[in-house]
Amino acid sequence: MTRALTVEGVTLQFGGIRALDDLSFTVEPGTVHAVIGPNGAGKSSTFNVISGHYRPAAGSIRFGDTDLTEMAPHRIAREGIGRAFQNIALSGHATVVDNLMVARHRLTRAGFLATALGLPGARREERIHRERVREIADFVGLGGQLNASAGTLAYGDRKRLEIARALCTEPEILLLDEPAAGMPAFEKWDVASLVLSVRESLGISVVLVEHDMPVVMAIADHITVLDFGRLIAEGTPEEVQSSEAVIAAYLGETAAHDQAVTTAPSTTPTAC
Amino acid sequence: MKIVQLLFLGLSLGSIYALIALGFVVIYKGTKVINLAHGSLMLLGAYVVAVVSEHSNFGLGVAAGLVTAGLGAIVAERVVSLARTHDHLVPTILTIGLDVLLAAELSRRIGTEVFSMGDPWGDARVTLLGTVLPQARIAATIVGIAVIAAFFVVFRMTDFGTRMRASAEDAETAALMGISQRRVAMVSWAMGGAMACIAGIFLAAFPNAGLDHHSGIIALNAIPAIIIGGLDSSEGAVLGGLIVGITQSLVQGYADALHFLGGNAAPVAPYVVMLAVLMVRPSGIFGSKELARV
Amino acid sequence: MSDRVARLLPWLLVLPLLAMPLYVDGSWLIIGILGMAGAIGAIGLTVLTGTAGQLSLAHAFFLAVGAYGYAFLAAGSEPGGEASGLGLPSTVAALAAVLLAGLAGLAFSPVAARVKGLYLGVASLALVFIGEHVLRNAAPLTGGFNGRRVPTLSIGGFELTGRNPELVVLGIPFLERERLWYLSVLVLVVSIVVATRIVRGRPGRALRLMRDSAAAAGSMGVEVRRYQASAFVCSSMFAGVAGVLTALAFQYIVPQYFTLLLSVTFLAMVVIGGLGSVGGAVAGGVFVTALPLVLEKFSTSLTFLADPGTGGLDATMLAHLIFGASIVLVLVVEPGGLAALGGRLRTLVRRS
Repeated sequence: MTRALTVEGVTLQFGGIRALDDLSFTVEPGTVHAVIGPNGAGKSSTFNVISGHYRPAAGSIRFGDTDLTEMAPHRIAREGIGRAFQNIALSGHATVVDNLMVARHRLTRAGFLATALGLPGARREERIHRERVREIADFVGLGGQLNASAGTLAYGDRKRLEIARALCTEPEILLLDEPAAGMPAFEKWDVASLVLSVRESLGISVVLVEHDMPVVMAIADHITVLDFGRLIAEGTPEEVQSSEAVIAAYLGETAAHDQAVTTAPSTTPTAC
Repeated sequence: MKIVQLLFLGLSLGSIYALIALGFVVIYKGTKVINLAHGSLMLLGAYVVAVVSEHSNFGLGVAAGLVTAGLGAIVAERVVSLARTHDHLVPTILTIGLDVLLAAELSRRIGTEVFSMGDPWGDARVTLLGTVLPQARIAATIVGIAVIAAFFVVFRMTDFGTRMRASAEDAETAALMGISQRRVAMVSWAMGGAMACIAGIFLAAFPNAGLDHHSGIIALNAIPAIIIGGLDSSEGAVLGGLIVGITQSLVQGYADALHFLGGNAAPVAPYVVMLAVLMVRPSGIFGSKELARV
Repeated sequence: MSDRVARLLPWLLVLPLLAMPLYVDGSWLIIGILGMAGAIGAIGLTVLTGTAGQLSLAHAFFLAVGAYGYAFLAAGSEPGGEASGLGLPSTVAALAAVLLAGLAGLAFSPVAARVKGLYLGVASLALVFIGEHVLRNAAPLTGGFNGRRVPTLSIGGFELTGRNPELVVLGIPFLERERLWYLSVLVLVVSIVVATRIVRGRPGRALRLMRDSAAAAGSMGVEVRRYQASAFVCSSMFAGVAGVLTALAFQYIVPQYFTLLLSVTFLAMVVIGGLGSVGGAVAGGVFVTALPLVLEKFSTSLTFLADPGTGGLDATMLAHLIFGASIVLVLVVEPGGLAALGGRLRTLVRRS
């Protein structure tokens, strides 16, 4: 069983702006935990604080008994926190398998010298991890495209590759930043079932930032709702759906927002 | 009063470097390119000034030089923009190619000659506060201050300045707001080229010997200036230029006491200062810290 | 043709390389030796600039460390010698000089680890200028302005860059250049293998992701700063190897060689070859190094070329015009450089 991830009293400042304001929530082991809220509510900032890319002005983040607050991103990754990026941060020219192998970094050792000399240990390590990477690629449905270069994949496949890469770090907990954004409906549900099977068959907790409400309501065990960097509601999908505060927060932008959700790729992916 | 003399000389030299550094920064803000062809553009401008003023007069020469350097910079910008790539190193590497080309052609034309700039100050000197200073350097300081002041007025107070600053902040958003990135790019390069030309005139003038095929390399003295000040800060460029000028002047002036540094340490000293600044502030004194976009 | 054959094709080029000294004279061999040294240096730079996305204009400095390091470590304290030395066995000195270049790169890591991309490029200018200054002034170590002689490299009494003991192969006397030729081919092949493994292996993957997205690299467990510094060290060691070979080829080294112009030349090599490609770096390295030398060799028959120093278009200048134009052209027309052209050629071969 995995450990719980606890965000406690986190405040994040950018100049005069409070991106996160005294935010607290706990991701229970083995759950799918969604973080939702209107645009600019601080969802991605929450991820950036957890994964160590931003340092909070106050508060702490703990993973089980380990304090992550002051850790650099690579240390946090080594603690078993995997992350898939919203804007697809892949190496576009590299192959699918190379993009996945880089995620084995924390699990492998071969440095410049061992690799240069082609030491037996380095070769063995490479072989073993390639095998595992192939399994994970199969798991997300990219098994047939291992040697294609990532930049040539279809948008949906690149999103999947992002998820697969995060899985290749063998995380205890997986942060997914809008995995279904910009996808047509049928692909969204593919991703949704992928997320569920990550939890079912790999036993990994998932923290999910997602705009698509039907998907969130269908797969989340627990939901945290943010607005202006503050927590305004949390609970099961049913509890959140009936919360006055949530309805009020969303009403303001429902019209515009629904438009964005239904007319597909509102967020153009950055080229990679 | 040696120290006062050296500080004056350093400030005047520094204001010349500030002009070059400001050119680097304007171009960087406008297009995110470090224009490593800046030295050759400076040489181009100063060369035209020298040639034209030899045949007519200095005023016409300066006008011709400014126009040539500005146009040259625009051509360079257009060539750089041809490289359509996401790799942010490529445009800057391209300017190295342009520099090699332009430098080779200019040095072919200039050959072994040394041009005088035909400037009105000649080798005249002025006594100021008990120190003797070359008139050309006083003129350099005054012109430098005037141009820098004009630059800040344009940058801060005009409509065009606002557009440029907006593009420097966030080019994509600025483009969406209808600001022509192409115009911003061309104007920022033209400004950079023209400022380099002015600096080139004063660098070739007295007390220096004149313009030869190697003069362009002096523009690289502004590199420590922009790193010290911060690559994306106009104020930083000016401050960095002054620091470099004064450092060089002091190291030169006290060469005897500093003989352990080796002969001709003045051109190298600013780089040592630069490394020291980098250790403490990797993005320079005024440079904005790059926030990782995730 | 199968993939495997297509991949092995470049290695067939080694065979004519091995036969070369039997057919061409020393003046061509020296061009080839310098070309191979250039190729090795370019390999180091393409790992740093192409794979890791870190610009460096300090490459000339690390070549100088390798070259002068070897000269200093290997030189005996012969009476009347113009500069001092430690008198180490020459092979040990050569290896130590490469390590020394790596250490110099490591010493720069407070900057190399924290400063990224373009910024590093201009910051690294400091090393070239400070380095040149040191070479001119630290006369006891470097011979100062006049430079210093480079000792012969030998293994167990067999001179690899000298003519003792005598060696004749197929009627051809193997002198300094013939012997150094084979050494260069060997070192070049080793460098290509080593660099290819690094680029394709775990370090290369991490460096590429760092270049494309430092944030993602961090989240995959890559220690970004340390890797940035490591890439720099790795690249300086290749430069060190190139420096030792260059020194052995020249037999006499002067500070005027290791200037910013040399750094720019290396950048031209990796750009023309195609950023990030080891094979491209080799092609670019040989092309850029050899071009001015070949032009010079033919300058008497190329009537449009002027004599050096007369102010006309001389061989060096023409070479510069060609490099400058090639950099611009490659980046505008085919950013993949020679490597991309080679790739297309390979596809054609495979299809036929």
